[in-house]
Amino acid sequence: MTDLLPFGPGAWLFIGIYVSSLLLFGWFGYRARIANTMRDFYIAGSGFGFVVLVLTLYATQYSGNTLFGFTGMTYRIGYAWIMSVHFMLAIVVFYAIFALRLHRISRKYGYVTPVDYLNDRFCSKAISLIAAIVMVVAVTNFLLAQLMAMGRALQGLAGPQGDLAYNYGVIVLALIMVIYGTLGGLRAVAWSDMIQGGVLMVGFILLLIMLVHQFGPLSSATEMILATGDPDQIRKIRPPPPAMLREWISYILMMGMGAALYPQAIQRIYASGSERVLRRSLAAMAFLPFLTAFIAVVTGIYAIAYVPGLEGAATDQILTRMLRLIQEESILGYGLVVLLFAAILSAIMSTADSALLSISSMLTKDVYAGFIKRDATEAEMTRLGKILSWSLLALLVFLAIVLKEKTSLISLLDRKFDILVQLVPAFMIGIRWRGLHAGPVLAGLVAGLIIALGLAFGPFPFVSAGKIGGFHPGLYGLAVNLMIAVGGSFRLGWRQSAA
Amino acid sequence: MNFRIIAAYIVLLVLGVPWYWPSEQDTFYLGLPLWVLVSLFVGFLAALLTAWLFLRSSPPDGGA
Repeated sequence: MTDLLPFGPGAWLFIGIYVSSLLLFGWFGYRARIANTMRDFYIAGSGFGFVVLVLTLYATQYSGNTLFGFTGMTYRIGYAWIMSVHFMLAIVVFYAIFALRLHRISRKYGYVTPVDYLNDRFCSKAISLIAAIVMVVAVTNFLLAQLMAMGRALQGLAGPQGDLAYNYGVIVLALIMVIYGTLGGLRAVAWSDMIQGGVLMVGFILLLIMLVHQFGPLSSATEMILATGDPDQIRKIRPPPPAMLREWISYILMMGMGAALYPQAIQRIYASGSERVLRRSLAAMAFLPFLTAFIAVVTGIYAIAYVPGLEGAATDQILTRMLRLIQEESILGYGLVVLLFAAILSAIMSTADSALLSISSMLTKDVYAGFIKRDATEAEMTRLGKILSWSLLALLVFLAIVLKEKTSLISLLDRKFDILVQLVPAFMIGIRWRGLHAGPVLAGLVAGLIIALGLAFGPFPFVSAGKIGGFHPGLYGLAVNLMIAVGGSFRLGWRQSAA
Repeated sequence: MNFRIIAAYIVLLVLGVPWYWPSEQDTFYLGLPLWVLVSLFVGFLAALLTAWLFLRSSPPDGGA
């Protein structure tokens, strides 16, 4: 946020009260606990109603990246980033494959982590361990990106003290998050998500209103881009070229499958109070990309027209450039930007707190209780989970401060899903086809991970901008993974029936 | 999900990805390029289909 005008004392007071009030949810969550068990702490006793579930799913799925990354990407490629509406919708479509069945099974067997299901389904320690590692790595990467976004959000508001504000921003916001998260568990996180999701939703609508008020209708922005006569700008409003169309399909598949397998989202499926609540929440989620991703794209289009000329990493900060223009216009604009800033913090914190809770649950239950101390008591695991939350967050805060400006939001997003999608056969096919065997699933998972990571990080000349022929490396890995898992299971099935 | 639903999603994906528009398409409605509007409309149809899938056989509250 290096471009916003510094906030005055009133704005800081508002932000301070808002962020501090989140601590209350930790206290409320602590008071509402029913038992000192993993399921009560991490799944909130499976008692979420419609409003809590839909807003916590919303606040968790839509992160700081939706605001900064999506507007930045639109600024770079134009209307073609409307693909983000499709891939955010694809997440809900892929839930239709497995979420309802998984919810039923989780209630029956009292699951806490996504790996609990894999344990029951495949009885393979190797699958469980690799799945836990994949999920922890993917979400830790995501959490680090959110922490860095927290720092950046505060960086520019302190004027010349920006670097210091980044450090304090990361530390203070992470501290507030870990306090309410470890006090009240998923209850506290989901209740705070409810407020954060509400603020985020209002923030997006306000952003659209502010843009139209400040710059006029979208048609004038589009006309301005056309009037530049610059081919590089005009291509941003025309249909994308064939190479980008392949990328479009790749994003829909990668994001749709990958984000549906976020462990924190799966744990919210477990936490739904009933199947009816889950069905209604997911039905509502199908329409939210039009309220969020679409508005982020519209913001990016306004930015192409009214803030031209940015390149490289600066394009990820285009949202703040737009906000500064609104902020300078009037007192009302200034006030709205303060409110929108709260929405940005909400987006980042709500995603980060869910990721942190999910990681600590998996490290405790899947790794510690699964491999190190199998007879660990519920109280012992819950206590360890809290200690791990604090330790992991301390380490990530340190990394966020040391690494500061060294990563791009979108590149982080790409690699995370390359590995997460390798879990598709185990979850999405495994839950629907009893004939899927553990051996082929394990072999497919290992092969898929090697191919995806090898292509993503190897020195191959045919890999361009992290993609091969417009498709993410993870999809090539998944294709091989599926062939091995499904083909191998058919082969095993035939052998068994022949015997 | 049965075959017809999967087929419906494939048709919506094919229509939602703007591969069939000429590269110099400059027609606008409601401030949006026509190809964007069509893609969004197809996305909205996909959202309706998805919502219907989840709501079509909702059990009574508390049903698991």
